[in-house]
Order: sequence, then structure tokens, then C-alpha cells
Amino acid sequence: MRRYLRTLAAMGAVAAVGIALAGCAGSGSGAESGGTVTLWARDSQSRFMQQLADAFNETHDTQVEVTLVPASEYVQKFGTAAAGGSAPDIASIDLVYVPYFASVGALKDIKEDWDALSYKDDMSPGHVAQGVYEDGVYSVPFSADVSAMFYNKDLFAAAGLDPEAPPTTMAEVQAAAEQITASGDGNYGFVFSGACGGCNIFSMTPYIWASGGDVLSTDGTEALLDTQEVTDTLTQYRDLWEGGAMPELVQSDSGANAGDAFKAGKVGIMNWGTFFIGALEDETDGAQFEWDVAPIPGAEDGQIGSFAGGDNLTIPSGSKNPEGAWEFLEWATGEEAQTILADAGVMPTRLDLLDELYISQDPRFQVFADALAVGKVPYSVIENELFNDPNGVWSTMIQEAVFGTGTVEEAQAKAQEAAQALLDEANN
Amino acid sequence: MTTTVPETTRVVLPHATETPRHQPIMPAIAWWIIALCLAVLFLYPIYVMLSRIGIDDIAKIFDTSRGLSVWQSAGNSVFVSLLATGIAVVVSTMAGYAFAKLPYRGSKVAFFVTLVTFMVPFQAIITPLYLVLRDIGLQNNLVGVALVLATFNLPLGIFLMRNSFAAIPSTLEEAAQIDGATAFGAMWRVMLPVAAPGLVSTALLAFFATWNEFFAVLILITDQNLYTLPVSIGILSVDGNFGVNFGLMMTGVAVTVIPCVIVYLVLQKYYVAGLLGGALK
Repeated sequence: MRRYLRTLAAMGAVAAVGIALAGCAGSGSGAESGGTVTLWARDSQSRFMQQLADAFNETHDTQVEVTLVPASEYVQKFGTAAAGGSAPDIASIDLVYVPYFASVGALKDIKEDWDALSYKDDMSPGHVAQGVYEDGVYSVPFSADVSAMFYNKDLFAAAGLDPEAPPTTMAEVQAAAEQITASGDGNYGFVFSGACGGCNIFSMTPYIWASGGDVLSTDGTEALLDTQEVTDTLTQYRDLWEGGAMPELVQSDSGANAGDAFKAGKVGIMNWGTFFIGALEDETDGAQFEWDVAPIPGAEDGQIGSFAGGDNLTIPSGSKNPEGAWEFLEWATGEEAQTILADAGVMPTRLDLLDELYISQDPRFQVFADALAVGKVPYSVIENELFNDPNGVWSTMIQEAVFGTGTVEEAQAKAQEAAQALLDEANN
Repeated sequence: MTTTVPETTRVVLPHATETPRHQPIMPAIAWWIIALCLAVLFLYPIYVMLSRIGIDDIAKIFDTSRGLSVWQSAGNSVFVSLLATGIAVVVSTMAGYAFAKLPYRGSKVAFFVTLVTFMVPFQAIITPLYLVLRDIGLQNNLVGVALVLATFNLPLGIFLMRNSFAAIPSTLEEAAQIDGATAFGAMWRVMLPVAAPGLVSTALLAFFATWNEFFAVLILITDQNLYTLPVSIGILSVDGNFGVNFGLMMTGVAVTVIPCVIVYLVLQKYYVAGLLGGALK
């Protein structure tokens, strides 16, 4: 009996120590005081998120605490936290995921506050559309990343093309790429990341949109992967691949190498995003050649397309301080915050402020501003399964249509059937 | 007359005993070459790592303007690793001793079930764990993380400690008990010093595993002031929107690796002995 008592006492001591330790270690965020809000952001936003929070905290009673999360794990972490009731007060989310999180009830409807915003019609239309689910509004536009055509002026000149007149139709893109490849010297005309669904929804779909087509209906219920515009775009990629106008790496590249190939000066044309400027202009290992940007063209002259990517700010439904969170959302879409974004080299989502804040930095940014005005995003609650998943419908279709042994149409028919089945399941 | 027989035996015997002894399989120089090749193979990545580190990278990693402090994360890492290692070592020692020296009905099954948990990928159980931690108030808490990581390291720890204790003859323990030691006393005073190499291996393996743990911390911690080194390094080495700055990443990795190398060098002779403990009787 005495031995049991001793054991019990020992266990009690261990428990007491554990509780005491827990008390020390858990001092990070205990009870929510009246005026703090927690904000989660992706690590790729680390350059400006803390600055933004500091600026807000200086002028407001409400204080924002930023937590950075690795981008590749963000969706899973946010999903776990939302399910576990420990979501932050504000989440900055890649806009393609907003419809999904809205559909599962992880986000708070902020329609009333949104309707009261005086500048809500001056925001990027692509970003705004992603925040709408059924009758509610679940996010506000925050930062933008649009796709455009980057081209190597030196290679254009060497191949006998006019570096001041970039291609304005898809046919011209193909002709220019073939001509640069033919100029020899180990140069290639075109590069993309063949094994990266997310990259291609960003860089390839603009051709389809510019030509008047689409990959999904606007309400996200019908797949349009077997349409003519998709056929034309995939066929062009296949011709470039089979004609040797792309380096071998494109077939297996999952997003890490295509940009470096362009930056090394061996590739004529690449569709990539606003963020690529930073890498090209890096002082130590940036591009050692003249480059420029142009809108991604469609089939006809004068058509342009772009993917309006970037982040939206949301208030998770488990937010402990939704009033404070909205205060930050309103401020983040305002002039002061959008100026901080622009100064950090990030594209603002306020179309009415673009001229003054962003294009004034570099005339080439006009291309991005035009792109944002026409920018689109495929709207779907299963965007990840359809497009971003490396084994998803979209990635598989591109692999089969561009590099496969079958025909483009076969790959499209298969993808269309699979995508429609997924959509029917998700929407019913 | 009878001289022929001894002669034949004399002919046969030398043949029977003439086995080539101390005949090296390969000359020493070949061993040197093989060992050198292996050394190069293992050291080259470390050379690559160190060669990518620049002064500006070091400044950038320790720069706290982005809201993450490497020192704070290192402190969190030390706290979690030491606590988790301590828990894992204590529990493994007791359980290993019980499985090795205090058999009861069904103890073999219990040991087998413990080992089966090796097979469970903990990514699969992270959400339930998260909910359990939330319910006991240890979510977003370093003690909670340490408990989870200690648990992940128990199967291997118990396995190692059981083998270490099983390799020790029972007579040693019986002698201690005849001298009046309790079961616990026999383990503590007599058996544990003999099983020290196994103990060190268990501690080292648990320490390295928790020190390098990324995923569990990422999911269970929701406040960046409580991140451990691997998570912070991962975040800090992302520069633009697409792509990793390798100089930054290698600097961060070096910060993470150096403590491990020191710990290993100090304890390596026990470590190897402990891994072989119980395997060679």
C-alpha cells in the first residue's frame, strides 16, 4: 500500500511539473485581449507583411500579430486549424482557394461591411469574383500577381525579329519561338513548367481566355476542357515541343527550373508573373540581357488575357475578434496599405490607384495593369483537385496532349469527362 | 617395418592444419582508398552547404525585421528537443526493462503492438492529435509538441532499450536482488550502467528526430513566436514568390546542423556500441 501511495505521489509531482511547464511555454497567446488580431500569411509575403502590420499597429488601437506559414503547407494548416476551432482572426489566402473555404463554412460572410466600402467597384474584378459564394461575400482583394509574356530582346534581335514589336497573336508567338530556335547557338524559343498544374493555369490559360474561350463556366459548374480554344492552345504547345522549340526540362519541370532557364538567357519567350521581375532584376544573379514584358495574346490581334492571381484577405468563421479583423481588412484595401505593397514591389489590387502607386515606378508595369483589368480566375470549389494537383485532371491533360503519344483531342475528351464528373459530385 | 604409417600421417597432418591465417583480404592501401571515397561521398554535401553561405546570408537569416527571430526559434527547438528526449528516454528505459526482464502474460503481444506503431505514418494521425491537444489545453504549446514528439520516438526507444537490457545476463540482476535491491533499484544501480550505450543511442536518436521535426510543429503551433528552427528556416529561406534562395537556406541548415554534429561527435563511441547492443551476444 505504501508503495502505491509513493507511486501516486510521484505521478502527482510529474503532473504538477507538466502543468507548470505548460504555463511557462504557453505564454505566446493566452486569452484574447480586446484589441489583438492574429493574421496568417504565406512565407512568400514575408517581405511586406510585417511592415504592413507595423504600419497598422502604429495608427490603431487594435494590434495585428503576424504568423508566417510555409506556402506549400498553408492550405492544410489552415484547414486543420479551421476544423479544430483555432483559426486566426485574419487569413491571407491564395485567391483560388477562397470559394472552397467559403463553401465548407470556414469563412465569415462579410457582405454588409463589403457593400459599405466606397471603392469596392475599383477593385480587381478577378479578385472580387473569387470572394463571392452563393449570396455572400467572403473575402476582400489584397495583393495581385498577374501573368504576362516575358521575352528576351537580345534573342529576338539575334534571330532577326524586332525586339520592340513583341508577338500580338498566338500564331506570331509560335513563329517567333520557332525562329529563335532556328537561330541556333543552343537557344530555345519557348519554355513552361509542364508538370506544374498551378503554373499552367497561370501561364497557359490566358491564351484560352484571350481567344474568347474558357476552361470552366463562370459559375463553376461546367467543365469546358474540350472546347476549340483549348484545342488550339494545346496544339500550339505540342507543335513547339515536337519541333524542338522547347528545352527537354519542360516535360518534367514542376515550377522550379523554367524561370531559371529564361533568366539564363537561353530562352526567347516565357509567360510568367509579376513576381518574376524581382528575380530578373536581382543585383547579383539577375538577367544579363535585355528583356521586356508584353500582354499574353489570343488568336486574333488585339485580344489579351491574363490570370489575376494573388491573395485575398478573409475572416475565418472562428475569429475571436471579427470587428478588429474587419478594421484591418478595410485598412489593407485602403490607400496607405496599398502604397506599402506597391513600394515593396507587389502589385496593388486597387485599379484606381495603380497609375499613381505602381506604374509610376516602371513604364513596363502598364502591361500588368492592363492584364489585371482583364484578369480571370477559374471559379471552383474544387480548384485544387482540378488544376493545382500535380496528378489532377488539368496536369494530366497537359502531359498527355503536349508530350503524349495520343492526340490532343483524346487527352481533352478524357479530361473533360473526368473534370465534369468531379464538378457534378462537388456541386450536388 | 611399421615406419610407413607414421610417414603417411606426417604427410597428411600438415595439410590439415595449414589454413591461411592472418592473410588480409585486401592490402591496407585498398582499405584506405575505400574509406577515403566514402569520406568524400559523405563530406561533399557538407562542403557544398558551407560553400553557399555568404556574409549577407548570415545577416539576413538573423535579421528580425520580417517578424521571425532565429534565436527565439533556436530556443524553442532546444526546449522541445530536451523535454521530448527526456520523456522518451525515461519512458523507454522503464518500458524496455519491463519487456526484457519482467515478463508477464501477454508482454510479448504488448511489445509487438508497440512495435507495430512504427508503421503508422503520423501525418495520418496529426489531425486527431491536434484535437486531443486542443481538448487538454496544450494546442499551440511547446509542451504539447514535446509530448507528441516523445510519443513518436517511443517505439524505437523501447526497442533499443529492451535489447540493451536483454543482452545483460539475468544473474547480474539476481545478484543485486539477493543483496536486497528492489526491482527498480536493481535496474537503476546495476543494470542501467551496463546498458549505458543503449541509453545514449536512444537519447541521441530521439534528440535528432525532435530537433529536425518540421511537420508536427508546423501543424500544432499556430503562433510564429513558438516555431522551432526547421519551420523558421523554411520560411526565412523563401525569398520571392517562386523559388528558394539557396544561400539563405544553406545558412539556415548550417545553423540547424551544427549543434547535431557537436552532440554526435561527443557521444559517438557510445552511439555505435548502443546500436550493436543486443545484436551481438
